[in-house]
Amino acid sequence: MVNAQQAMLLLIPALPLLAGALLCANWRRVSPGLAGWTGAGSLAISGLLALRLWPTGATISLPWITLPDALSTAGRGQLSGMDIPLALSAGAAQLTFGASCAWVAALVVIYALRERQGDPAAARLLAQLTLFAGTMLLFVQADTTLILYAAWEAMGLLSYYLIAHHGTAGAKRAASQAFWTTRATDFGLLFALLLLLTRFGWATLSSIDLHRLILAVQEQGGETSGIFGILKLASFLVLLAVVGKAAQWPLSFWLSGAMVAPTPVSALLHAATMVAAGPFLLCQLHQLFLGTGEALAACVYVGSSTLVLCGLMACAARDAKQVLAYSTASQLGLAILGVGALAEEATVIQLTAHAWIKAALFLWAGYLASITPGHPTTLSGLAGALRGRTVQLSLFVLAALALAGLPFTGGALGKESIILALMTRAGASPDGTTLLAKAMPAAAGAWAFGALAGKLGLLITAAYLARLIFLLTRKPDQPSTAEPEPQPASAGWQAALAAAAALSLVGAIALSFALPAVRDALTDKGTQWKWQFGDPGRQFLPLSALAIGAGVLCAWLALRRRASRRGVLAWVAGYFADGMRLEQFWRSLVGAPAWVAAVWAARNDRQVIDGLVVGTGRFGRWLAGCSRWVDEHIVDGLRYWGCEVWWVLRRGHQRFLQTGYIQHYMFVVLLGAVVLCFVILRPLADIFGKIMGAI
Amino acid sequence: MGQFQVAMLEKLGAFAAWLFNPVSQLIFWPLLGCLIICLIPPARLRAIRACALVFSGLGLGTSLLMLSGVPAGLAQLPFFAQFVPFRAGVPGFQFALDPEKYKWFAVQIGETQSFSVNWAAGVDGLSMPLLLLTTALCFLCVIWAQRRTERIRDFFALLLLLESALLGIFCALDYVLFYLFWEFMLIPMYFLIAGWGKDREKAPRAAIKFFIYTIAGSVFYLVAFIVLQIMSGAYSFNIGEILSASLTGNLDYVAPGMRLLLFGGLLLGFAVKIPMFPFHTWLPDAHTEAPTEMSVILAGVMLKTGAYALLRILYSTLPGEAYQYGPIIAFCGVAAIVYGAAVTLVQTDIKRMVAYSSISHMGFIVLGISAMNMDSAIGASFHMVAHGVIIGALFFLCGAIEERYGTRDLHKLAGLLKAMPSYGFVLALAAFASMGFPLLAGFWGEFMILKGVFFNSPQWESVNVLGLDGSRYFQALAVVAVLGILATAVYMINMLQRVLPGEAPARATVQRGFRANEAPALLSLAAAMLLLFAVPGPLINSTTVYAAGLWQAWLQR
Repeated sequence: MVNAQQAMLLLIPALPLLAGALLCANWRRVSPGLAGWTGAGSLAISGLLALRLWPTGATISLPWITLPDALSTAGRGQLSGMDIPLALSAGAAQLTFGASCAWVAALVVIYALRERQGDPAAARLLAQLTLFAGTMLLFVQADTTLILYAAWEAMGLLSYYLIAHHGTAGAKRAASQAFWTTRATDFGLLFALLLLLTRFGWATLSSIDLHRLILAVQEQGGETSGIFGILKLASFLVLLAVVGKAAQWPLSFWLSGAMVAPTPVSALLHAATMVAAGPFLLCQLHQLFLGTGEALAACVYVGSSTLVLCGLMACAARDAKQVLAYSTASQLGLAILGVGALAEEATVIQLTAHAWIKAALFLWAGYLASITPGHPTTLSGLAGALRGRTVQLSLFVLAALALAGLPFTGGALGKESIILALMTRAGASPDGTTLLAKAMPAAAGAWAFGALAGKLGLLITAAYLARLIFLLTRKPDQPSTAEPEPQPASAGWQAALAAAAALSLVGAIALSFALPAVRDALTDKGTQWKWQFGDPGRQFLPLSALAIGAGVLCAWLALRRRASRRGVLAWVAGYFADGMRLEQFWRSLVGAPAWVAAVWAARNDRQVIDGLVVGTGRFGRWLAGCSRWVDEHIVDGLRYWGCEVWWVLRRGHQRFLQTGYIQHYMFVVLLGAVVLCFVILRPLADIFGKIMGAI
Repeated sequence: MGQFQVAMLEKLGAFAAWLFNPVSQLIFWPLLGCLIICLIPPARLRAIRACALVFSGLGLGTSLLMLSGVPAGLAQLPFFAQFVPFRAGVPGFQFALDPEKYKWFAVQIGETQSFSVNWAAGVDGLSMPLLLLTTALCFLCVIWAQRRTERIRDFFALLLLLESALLGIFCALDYVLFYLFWEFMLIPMYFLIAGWGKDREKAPRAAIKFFIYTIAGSVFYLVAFIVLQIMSGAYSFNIGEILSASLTGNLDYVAPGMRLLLFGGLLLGFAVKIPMFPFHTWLPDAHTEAPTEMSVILAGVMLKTGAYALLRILYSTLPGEAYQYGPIIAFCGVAAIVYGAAVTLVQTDIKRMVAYSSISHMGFIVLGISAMNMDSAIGASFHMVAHGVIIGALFFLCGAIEERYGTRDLHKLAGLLKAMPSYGFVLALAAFASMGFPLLAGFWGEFMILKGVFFNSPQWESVNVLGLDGSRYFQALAVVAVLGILATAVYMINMLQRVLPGEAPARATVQRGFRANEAPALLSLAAAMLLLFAVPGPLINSTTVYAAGLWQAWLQR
């Protein structure tokens, strides 16, 4: 039976899942208030439960299915299978990230409750948000790899519904684009999990133990190179899935498209769920990356290119939500860099901090849009939104500084640890562990590259956040011509919005004090596979502060000189603002050819394949018509004309046969029969004789 | 008692045992229903409906009793004496009578050689789930058709006859018996499509195309199995006997060319029914014209008979040839997956779209079987059932939508969520299940097939296909097959995006909830979709033993 801790573990994902499912099923009968508070309440309780279990954790494993195993069956000659349990587990990392997810999601749901007032489908959106967050919690706590995969896919599906919430053509297009992109890359995860299941029998995350596997192979005197080959393949497949899900370059286009969704959806999608699931999956499966330098290098290159390129896109973006969207991709790139540097605990910290801060920024952006006439999200529309609002401005700047990773804020610890880890790896000698020594030469160059990109990322992050703040505070170019819309209903809900946004910010700031404790909890469970690295940041902090300052300066200079309005620079800025035209690229590379092929196939099916079938039938009918013609005109005609000719030639000459005596007639018949016998039976008898002879 | 009486009593006892045999009951309940319905005057609509309901229900009840066994009290009755609970993990056939005792006719050739055609029928782990699927879908179809008023006597009689023939195929263990049922299912299907189709002009043409195409295929099957029986030297047409003759090497003397002809003949017969690429063009036409219930049975059960025959007959009896030509068949399977999915992408008729999607999914089953691997064979048989459930739901929904909207054109369908929210929910569920989405029925089949084809195909290593090592070739095929799953996601999402949101026409908004005759089908199939993911164990275990047997035979080939 389950004990109290296991029950709590079960409840963490089960509460919001159940609440969300029930609300989704009855959303027409439920008021938005009930839906919102139920959803947020269940999520908040889940977060509390996660905190209650922290940091010791718990595991639960229930029997589920036994899959037959073909290879071992063939090997042993008897039926054998592998058990796949229904297992959840909660380590320090899972609980840290899970609790943050739950609370951030609860705040987002409360925010959405106020923001979506007047939306007839508000209850549905709130229910779906709760369900979505529940799915994320299931993903975080899942131990069975198949459950993990199911939750991963379910998130993709729910994101489709959330993005398409408005129901416009653009929303549907963005939603299906997001769904198809992530679904396509998800097969990487499926194949990777299948590979682990079939080759090593790893059905749960907790059963993944590279050390034991290698020892077992070495004990049997086997070669470990085969294992590393499989691990390399599996880690590349996982990375593929993560690139899709976490919107990494060059698949980052779907995330900016998904900005058509309501602000709470964007906040949840970006902050705590869905995209953050990608790097978290890498942390969960980090063992696969040990000992395969190429996969680590790939992680580093993917992470650094996304960090820099998506950062540049954020610098050039024309819409406040787009800035934050590209920033998300970029920050997750940094998290993936962390996995590439084998600093998965730093990655978890970066993800947790990012969840809080990004939610705060999104909610603030949504709040600012909601108090501006016309509710714009473009930067030109929002220009001056923070002007004269000192409290709002200072909170927003605080959040931005935290995201930029200013030393001693919530965002700094993870970032500094990741960059430090990269530097240490790049410069340090292997610590003698065979696995890492194996990985070293392949990844050493990548680590140096990653450290550089990390520092550059700090600068770029500071630049786009500074640009955002400058634009939000500067004087509008021209006074807004739009009729000022009536301000939202009451000051009460404005306060509620601000409170939700502020609360998430407070959470982010509070986190900066809690994070060292979190880091200690994470590294304490560390195995021998981890490198301990010293208290990070101290010696590099000035450098980071310098990079951030330089970023701010760049933004200021660029805005001051209006560089983006002229010449090559303008073209480059436009190119990045359009997300490097990645969407068009993929559309013409994949979408258009697929569509042409489909049209061709459909035509081919009608005209060629079915044409052959129908043609065979027509040919048969034509053949039948021919034989009928031959029958009517030739066979029948011959008989007719033969008789006619005979009659004309021998007119009257046969009268002698018609004697009227029956015996004469019988004689003629007999004669005919004898002739027939000789004509027909002789050859038959010959054939029969030959057959008998042959036998 | 005289000798004659004793003999007569023995015969009577054997006859009773045959009649009370669960398999016979399963086949004959619907047949009896068909006969009784024929006797009811056509104007007595309620009696006809009730009769159809009762006898298809009896079919379903019998199949459920076969699965669970009867309570101890009932087991005392001779009628129920043979209903022992079905045991999934046991090799061999259950509920089978000794075929030697039930000779239909025997032919004596000369002094030494003779052969007989027997009543050989039984059930094993491969066929049991398919029997349940058949009886359940037929019962749901009968419920669905309760609203029909047009010539319902003929309709229900033919439907029950069709059910009987379909059940016969899954139970028959004799080539001749199998062939009889196989051909017999075409006749009611032909009349049902031609007579109750939507379009009076096109429906008979589609029905004729379907009929001639499939019968042309089965002629090859007929010739091939007769030659196979003669060459194997078996004394009967029993599938098991010819199988063991083949496995013990009695067919080894046959020249390779002849063996290829045998294999090709059997394959052609089954390939048309599956339908395998490029023999598939009858399917969309037949589906487009068929009434809803017939589309459900056609796609849900009838296509599975072809795949079942591959597993039961072709791949078990001629594994050598299957191995030799496996890469080609697998290629045809993948071609069906990708090509079918591509054609589906551009369809504008919702029913035609679903029909093409089933070509794509049957391609998955063919790929799974042709990889000759235990995992993929289990996956294929799982997918048969799962696909039957999913495609059944999809066709039921197509029928409901067509009836309410009066059109099947995807450009004109909108607002299902507003007009018929419950139907919209089941449609979304079925569409996602069809994508092989985890949490729904379609997942495990594709999972096991991919697992088998991609990871567990070492036996193909020694084969060289197009310059590739055979296992690499199969891995490449599995990757290409994934494109088909992706395309499924694209066309299903496109379909949902057109059908679900928006404003519905007034005629579609008459009734928001489920209709009484439609609720059982949609609700039970939706439940089955969820259950098959959550509890796949029984279905997987059921087919494991048969697949393991095949796997051993394939390895020793």
